[in-house]
Amino acid sequence: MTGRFSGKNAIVTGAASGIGRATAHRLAGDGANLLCVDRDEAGLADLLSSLGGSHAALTADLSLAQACTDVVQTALRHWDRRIDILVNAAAILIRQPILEHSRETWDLTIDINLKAPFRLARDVVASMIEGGIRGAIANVGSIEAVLPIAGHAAYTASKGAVTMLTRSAAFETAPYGIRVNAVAPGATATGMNADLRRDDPDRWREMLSGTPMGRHALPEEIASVIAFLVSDEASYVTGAVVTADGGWTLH
Amino acid sequence: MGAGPSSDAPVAIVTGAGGGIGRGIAITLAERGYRLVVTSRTAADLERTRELVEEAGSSGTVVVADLKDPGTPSLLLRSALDSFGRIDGLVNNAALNIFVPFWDQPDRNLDDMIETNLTAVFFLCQEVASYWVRNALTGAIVNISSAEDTIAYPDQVPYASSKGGLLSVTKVLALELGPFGIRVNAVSPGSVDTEMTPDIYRREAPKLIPIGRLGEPQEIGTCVSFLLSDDASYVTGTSIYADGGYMLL
Ligand SMILES: NC(=O)c1ccc[n+]([C@@H]2O[C@H](COP(=O)([O-])OP(=O)(O)OC[C@H]3O[C@@H](n4cnc5c(N)ncnc54)[C@H](O)[C@@H]3O)[C@@H](O)[C@H]2O)c1
Repeated sequence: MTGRFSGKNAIVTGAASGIGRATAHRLAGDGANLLCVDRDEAGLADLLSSLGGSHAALTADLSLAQACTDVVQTALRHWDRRIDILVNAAAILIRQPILEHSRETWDLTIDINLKAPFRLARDVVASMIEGGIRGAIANVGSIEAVLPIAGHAAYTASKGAVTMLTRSAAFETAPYGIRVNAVAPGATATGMNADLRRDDPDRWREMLSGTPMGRHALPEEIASVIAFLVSDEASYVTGAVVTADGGWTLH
Repeated sequence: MGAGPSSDAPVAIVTGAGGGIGRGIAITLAERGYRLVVTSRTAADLERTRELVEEAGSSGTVVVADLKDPGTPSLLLRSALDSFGRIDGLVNNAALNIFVPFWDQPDRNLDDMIETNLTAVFFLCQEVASYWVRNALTGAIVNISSAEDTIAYPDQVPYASSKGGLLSVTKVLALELGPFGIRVNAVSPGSVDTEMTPDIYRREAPKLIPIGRLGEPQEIGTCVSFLLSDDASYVTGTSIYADGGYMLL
């Protein structure tokens, strides 16, 4: 297949749903070879059949350190030690008022949303430096890092951390030609808010009323930003956190 | 030493108070009439801080504890209430920084820094804020972040991540605790002169910092004191960058 990612090997986490899934489609459509990672095995199977081609999938629970190690090791074996692109899109959001936010909620959120992207990026960067590969990494932050939403304490913390994971990793890896960026989406219709949109549509509409564009994003509209960031079009872009929020953070 | 503080003087908890910025904060707050609960992992250092707090005309209680221990938040709150009968302010100053290139940082370092600099801070905030809310009291919290919550330095990805998370969690705490009359802010220091500061920083300061020198611990203390005080009654969810202009260069 030809395309701007032709011949590139890309790991996409959270690929079974939402932004990760749309990113997988986008990168594959432009020629990348994918290793799709998620804990949702059925979702991955569905993705692979919709992608066609010869992409790989790995069912893994990224809250576990060992699973992160396995993902990178699997990719290195599968692609003869060459990873060009990593997209960290897996994350969870658990809603709990701040004074009731439990230790379990906090730890699980930090493990999946912060530590997994850290571990995957660290190991992928090590392989890129070793192989002299000028690769690119995209993280998914959130506008909630700067404009918090009540009930999202651990999620907010994790996304603020991802912002600085992105910037400080970009700083250290720039001399090796490796780029690290993030997208900070606003309200995007995905699995993360499917329950909210179904059970409390008024609240969802109220959130959107504060978005100047007056609508939510489709996952494809975030995937297109990620695809840009990991492409050669963004060759001078590193440490950037690109906001894609329909204007949410303008006021 | 004066007559000592009155029994209705305000009370603050300062973590990481055995030296450096934490000790500077404790002394500044003592000078401004706060009674203090000072905590860290080393008793001898804390005793010295308590002496300095007393020399500043106030009184202090020492609690030796590890912030990574899940029992520490309730221990600290109980000490404030048992020693002084009240709690008005919380200053989360303790933090850990281990310098290693990103690709070599072991999981253990990541876990330690996230736990100490972010998770422990959140749960101590939650403990003290819950007490205030349960008892219809109000108070203020100041988290000591870092210029590194915004700008990058080498070999400190986990530290920078923890501080980025801290800045964001300060905002969500402020959002959700605002209706209860609780304010939550941060101070983000640049380079501060402490026992741990390498000499080269002092020599390079005129080149790297518009103000031309490193900060003194008490210059972080005055920012904390402002944010805890009623002078900052309308200030919440933000950070004061006390960096001598470092971030401008
Ligand atoms: N939807 C929004 O409004 C929005 C806004 C800002 C940021 N984001 C971010 O976008 C990214 C993608 O989220 P989404 O909205 O597409 O949500 P989603 O729930 O549709 O997709 C997330 C995927 O991550 C997977 N995942 C979760 N925990 C995992 C684990 N432990 N191991 C492996 N996989 C795991 C899930 O199975 C799911 O397939 C996340 O980082 C999210 O924080 C979303």
